[in-house]
Amino acid sequence: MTGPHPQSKIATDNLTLRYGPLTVIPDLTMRIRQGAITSLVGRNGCGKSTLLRCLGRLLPASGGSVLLDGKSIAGFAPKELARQMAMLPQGPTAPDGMTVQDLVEKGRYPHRGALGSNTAHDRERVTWALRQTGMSDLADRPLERLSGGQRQRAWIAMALAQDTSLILLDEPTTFLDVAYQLELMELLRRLNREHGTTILMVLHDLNQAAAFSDTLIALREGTIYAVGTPHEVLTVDMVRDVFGLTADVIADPRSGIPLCLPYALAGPQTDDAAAGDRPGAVQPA
Amino acid sequence: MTATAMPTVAPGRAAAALAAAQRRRVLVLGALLVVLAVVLVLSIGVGAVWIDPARVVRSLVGAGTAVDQKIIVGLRLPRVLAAVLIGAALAVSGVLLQAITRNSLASPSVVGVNGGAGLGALAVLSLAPGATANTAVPLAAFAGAAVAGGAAYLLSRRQGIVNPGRLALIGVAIGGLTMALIQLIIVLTLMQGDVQASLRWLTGSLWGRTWDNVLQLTPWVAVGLPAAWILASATDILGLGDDVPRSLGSRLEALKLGLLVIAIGLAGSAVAVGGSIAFIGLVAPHVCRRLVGPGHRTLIPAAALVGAALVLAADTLGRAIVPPTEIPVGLFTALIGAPYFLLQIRRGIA
Repeated sequence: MTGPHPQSKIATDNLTLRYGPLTVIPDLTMRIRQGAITSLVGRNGCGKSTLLRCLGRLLPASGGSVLLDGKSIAGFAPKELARQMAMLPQGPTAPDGMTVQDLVEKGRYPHRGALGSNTAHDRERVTWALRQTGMSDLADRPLERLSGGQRQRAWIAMALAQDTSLILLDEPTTFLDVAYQLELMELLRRLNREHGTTILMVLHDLNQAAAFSDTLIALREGTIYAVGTPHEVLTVDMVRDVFGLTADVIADPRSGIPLCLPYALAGPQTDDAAAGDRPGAVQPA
Repeated sequence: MTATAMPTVAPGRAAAALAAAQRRRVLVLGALLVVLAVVLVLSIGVGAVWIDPARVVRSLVGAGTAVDQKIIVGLRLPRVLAAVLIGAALAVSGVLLQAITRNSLASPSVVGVNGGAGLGALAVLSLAPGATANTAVPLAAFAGAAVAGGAAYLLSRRQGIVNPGRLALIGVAIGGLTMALIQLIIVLTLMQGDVQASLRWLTGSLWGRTWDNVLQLTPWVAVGLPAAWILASATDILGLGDDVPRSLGSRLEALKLGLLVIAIGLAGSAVAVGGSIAFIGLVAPHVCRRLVGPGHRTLIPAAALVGAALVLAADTLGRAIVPPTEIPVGLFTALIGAPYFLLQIRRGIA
């Protein structure tokens, strides 16, 4: 496909990514829908984090292109790109003594001139980001004195202060306890629903991804195995083929969203006869 | 100092605490300025004849006696100003190198600047003993510092990216190489050059510094310090790792190169004039980070003031303790700096 994609916020065209002799992503074409929450799922090493870093231009593509609003990201100036797209990598670090306020103000960096002075609008956005994440009362705290959940919220606040219409997150719930995970996912959902922010993230937890995403993309060895709604993607076949697990998939008693209950490692190449038979399975393109 | 931007308004208690922290930082800067001024006046007073602070101040504002004026402006002031400029340059260089390497134990010697400067200076002092010590030596030392620092940068660059850890390791290797070459020069020339001067230079000494030396230093400090300060908010972002700065739109590699050039210029010019003065580039940023926090907009001026006061105080003590013998300033800073660090590490803070 060429030309503009009015519905897709960020997309790839025949994206290839190689690390030396190793091909992580052979040839990937995908569209991420504007205004939706999309999660990338797959096993460790399937290339989902690499793909996210490539979309965020932290890694150069070996071939093909990444398109933001239909334009190749290769052509954006660094600050220009940072005004369109925020990216929160996994386990970010900050210097000792940096306060929440200091950190969140860094999100305004791409909006500032060379001398970097704060405008009234910068202050307003920082205040807004702190409020959205419930961090206003902790603004004066050094980051190292926060709990894991608070710290992650501070980082999210920094990304919010960046004031972009697209946010990429790499496993934002890792290292958080269950309550903080839920809180964080609800924060992301609220941002998406109230402000139309497009969210693309890598998630470890399949059920969490299904519960909070409009679209799931299941990756296997750098290629898309399945893409669609959680109902379409989270199937017994997908869990077996992508994660190597034998599982039951049931409907969540409250929401009806599919819930995966793995009970065994799938044996090597023991595809049962019913493969492709179950409802919703999407075959690789 | 108009150093600090207004804090962003956040509601309630947190806003009040942030405003208080901001006021405290400004107060600390003011207090450091006062400390430096006091040390400066005392330092000018110390010498073969003691001149009391009131007479020093009168002379400095041009209202002293002719004799005082001659001693103070002609003899003592250049050495004192050299100490201030060297201290500020080394400290700010340390701040920048610690930001680039994201390692609070980095200092000018870590990128090979001290070793390179020492090699340049020794080469002139030992191999060309006729050269004018006050111009040729600083020039050679600066060239050595620039070559060593530049080599560390270029060697640590791979596919256009400078890895902080690699930069520090390569700097240490270059430092080791230059030390070996310095010793080789000493052995080969059988100390036939200006031995006294070489030794003074390797320890770090301000003995006999003149207005010429102050003029050699001034342009580097006058350009380097404001340049570092202007880049403060960009430098702050370096602390957030490799990925976050780039996703915030920082031109990371250009910034690292720019900061490294400033850091080498500052440290190189300081070492060229004062010799290898230890620990200032390490201790001053460390102390200041605890006083004013990690933000470079206040950290840079604070480190400049502390570095200047430390070198000046060390030089003054070195002159005052066992006159007429002088304890070289570099020896003194090492005597103060090493225990300070041991103490910090024992306390588990460093």
